[in-house]
Amino acid sequence: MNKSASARKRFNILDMPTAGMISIVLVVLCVVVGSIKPAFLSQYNLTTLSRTISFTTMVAFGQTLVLLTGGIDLSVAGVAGMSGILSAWLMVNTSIPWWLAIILVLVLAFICGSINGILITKMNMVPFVVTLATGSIFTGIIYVVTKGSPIMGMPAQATKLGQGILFKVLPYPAIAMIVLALLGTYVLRYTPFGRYIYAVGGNQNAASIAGIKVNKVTTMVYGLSASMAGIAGILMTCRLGTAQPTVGADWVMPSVTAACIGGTSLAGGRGSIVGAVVGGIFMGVIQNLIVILQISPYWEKVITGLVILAAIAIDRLKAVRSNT
Amino acid sequence: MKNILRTIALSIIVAMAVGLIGCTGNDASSGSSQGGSQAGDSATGYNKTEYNLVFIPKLVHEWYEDVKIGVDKAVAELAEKGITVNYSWEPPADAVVTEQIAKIEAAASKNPDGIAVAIIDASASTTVINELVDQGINVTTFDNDAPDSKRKYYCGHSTNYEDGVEIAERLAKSLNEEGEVAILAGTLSAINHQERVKGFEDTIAKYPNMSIVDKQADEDSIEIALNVTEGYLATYPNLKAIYGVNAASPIGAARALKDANKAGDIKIVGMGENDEAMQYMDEGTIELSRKKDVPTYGYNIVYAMLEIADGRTPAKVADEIPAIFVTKDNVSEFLN
Repeated sequence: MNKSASARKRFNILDMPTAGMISIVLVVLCVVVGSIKPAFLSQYNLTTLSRTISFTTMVAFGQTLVLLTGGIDLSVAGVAGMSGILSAWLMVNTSIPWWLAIILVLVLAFICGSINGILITKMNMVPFVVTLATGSIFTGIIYVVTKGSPIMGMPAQATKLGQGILFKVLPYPAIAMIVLALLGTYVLRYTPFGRYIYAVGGNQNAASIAGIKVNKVTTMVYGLSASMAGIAGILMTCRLGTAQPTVGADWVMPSVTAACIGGTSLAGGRGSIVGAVVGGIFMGVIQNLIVILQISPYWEKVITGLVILAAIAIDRLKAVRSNT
Repeated sequence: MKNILRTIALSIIVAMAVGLIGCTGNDASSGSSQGGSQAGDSATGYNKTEYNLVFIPKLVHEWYEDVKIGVDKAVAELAEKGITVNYSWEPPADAVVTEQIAKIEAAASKNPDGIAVAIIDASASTTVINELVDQGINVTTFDNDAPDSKRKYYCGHSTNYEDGVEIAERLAKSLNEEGEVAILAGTLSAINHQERVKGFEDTIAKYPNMSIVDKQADEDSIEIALNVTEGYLATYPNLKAIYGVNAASPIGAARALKDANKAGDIKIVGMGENDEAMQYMDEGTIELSRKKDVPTYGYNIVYAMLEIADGRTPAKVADEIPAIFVTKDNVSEFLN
C-alpha cells in the first residue's frame, strides 16, 4: 500500500499538462538545433519566425474555442481570406479610413461566424458540414470580388500593422497574438462565459439543465472563431502589402492541428488557449527547421506528419495512463 | 417554431436554386446562339457569322485574366468584320484535374465550335480529349499542353527547361560567376516548375564558384515563399541570389528582402509576371523576370479555333510563344 502511494507521489513527466510536455520537447529541440545551426537562434530568425507563427496561431485560438464546444470550424480559411480581401478593397476603393475598414470587416466576420452558429444550433445542422459549406461561400466571395487578382495600393498605415516590428524585435502580428492569447486565457479561466464553453463541450444536456444558454454560447463561439480568423487574415494582408486571394487558404488544418498538439480534445470540453500557442509555435518551428536544416523538400510533408503524430501520441500516452 | 424553420430552410433552397439558374447566364452569349449561322460567307473569310467557344483555364487565377484580354481583343476584331464570337469562361475553382475533366465534358454537351483547355494533368485528360475529338468536337489546348492527345492546336510556352537555363546564365553573368544561390521550387507535382528547376541547376553546376545551397517548395503561395526566404536569410549570410520558379515565389522573396533591408543586395530572378512583380522590378527588388506573352495565347487561339471549326488547319498546330526577359530597363512597358 505504502509503496504504491509513494510511487504515485513520485514526479512523472506524464503528470504534466500536454502543453507543458510539448513545451519541454520544444525547448530541447530548439537548444539542440541552435547548437548545431546557430542561425536558428539568431535574432532575425526568431523575430521573423514569431511573425510567421502568429497568423495560424490566432486562427487556432478561435478553433480552440469551437473545439471546446465539441464542434469544428472549417470556414476559417474562407473567412480569413475574405476579411483580408474585403478590408483591402474598402481601403483602396472607398474613402473609408483604413481603421474603420478593418473594424467593419471584423464585424462582418463576426456576423459570418454567428451565421455558422445559428445554422448549427437553431437548425440542428452538423458543424463539419455547415462550416464546410459556408467556408466555400466565403472563399467564393473572394473570387467574385477579385477574379483571382491581388488588390494593390493599400495605405501605408495599414500595411504597417502587418510589417511593423516593435523595438526591432517584436513584430506587430506577434503582439496581436500575445494580447489575444492573454485575453482568451482570461475569458476561458475567469469568466462565466469561459466556464459555459467548457460546460457545453463537456455535456450539452447537463449544461442546458444547469441553465446555460447553450445555443447562445455556441453561436457566440463561432462568431469569435470567425473574428480571430478575420484578424489573422487582415494582418496577413497587411503583412504582404497586397491582398492576395489565396490568403488563409491553407489555414484550416494547421489551426486544428495546433490546438490538438496543445492538448485540446476534438471531442470537446478539454483544452486551452495556451495549448494552441504551444501547438502553433511547435508547428512553426518544424516548418522553419525544414529550411534551416536543409531537409529535402520531397521529405518535408512526411516529416511534418510524423512529428505531429509523435506530438499527439504524447497526449494519448497520458490518456492511456490515466485510464489505468 | 419547427414550421418557421422549415419555411426558412425551404426558402433558402429555393433562393439557391434560383441563384444557380441566374449564375449560368454569364456565358457571354449574345442573342440566339444557333440562329445566326449561315453557310459560306466569302466576304469575311469564314464559313459562319457566329461561333461559340468555351475556355477552360486551370483555375480561377489572375494569370488567366490576361489570356482573356487577348481573347477579348480577337473577339472585338472579329466583331468589326461582322463575325460574332460568343465564348464562355469556365475555370474550375481549384486546379483539380477531375473537376476540370467534368468541366470539359459539360462544355462538350453544349456542342460548341471549339473548346480550349489549359491542361492541369495531360496524363489524366488525354483520354477525354481523344474521345471528344473522335465525336467531332474541336478541342484545343493553351498554356499547358496534352501533346500526346488528338487535340487540334496548342498555344503556349513550354520550353521550361530552357527558361531555367537562360535565367541561370544571365544570373551567373550578373554575379560574375560566383556566389551562393537558393531556389524557391514551386509545387513539387508541377512538371513545368521542376523542369525550370532542373534547367537552372544543370546550368549553375557548370560554374565552379557558384553553388545552390538549398531548394524548398513554396506551393505557389506568396506566404510560404516569404517564410522560406526568411529561413534562407537566417541560414545563409552569404546568399547572393534567389531563383523563384513561379509567379508567386519572386514576390514572396521580394517582400522578405525588403523587410530585411536586403533589397538589391540579394538578387531575385525568376518567373514573376504580374503587376506586383513588375512594381518590385521597377523599384529594383526583383532583378530579372521571364514574362510570358499571355494575352497572345488568348488572341491566337480564338483565330485558330475558328479556322479549325471551318475545317481548315491553322498555320501552326503547336504554337510556341516566346517569353520575354524583363529587367529594370524595359519594365516600364509592363507597368500599368
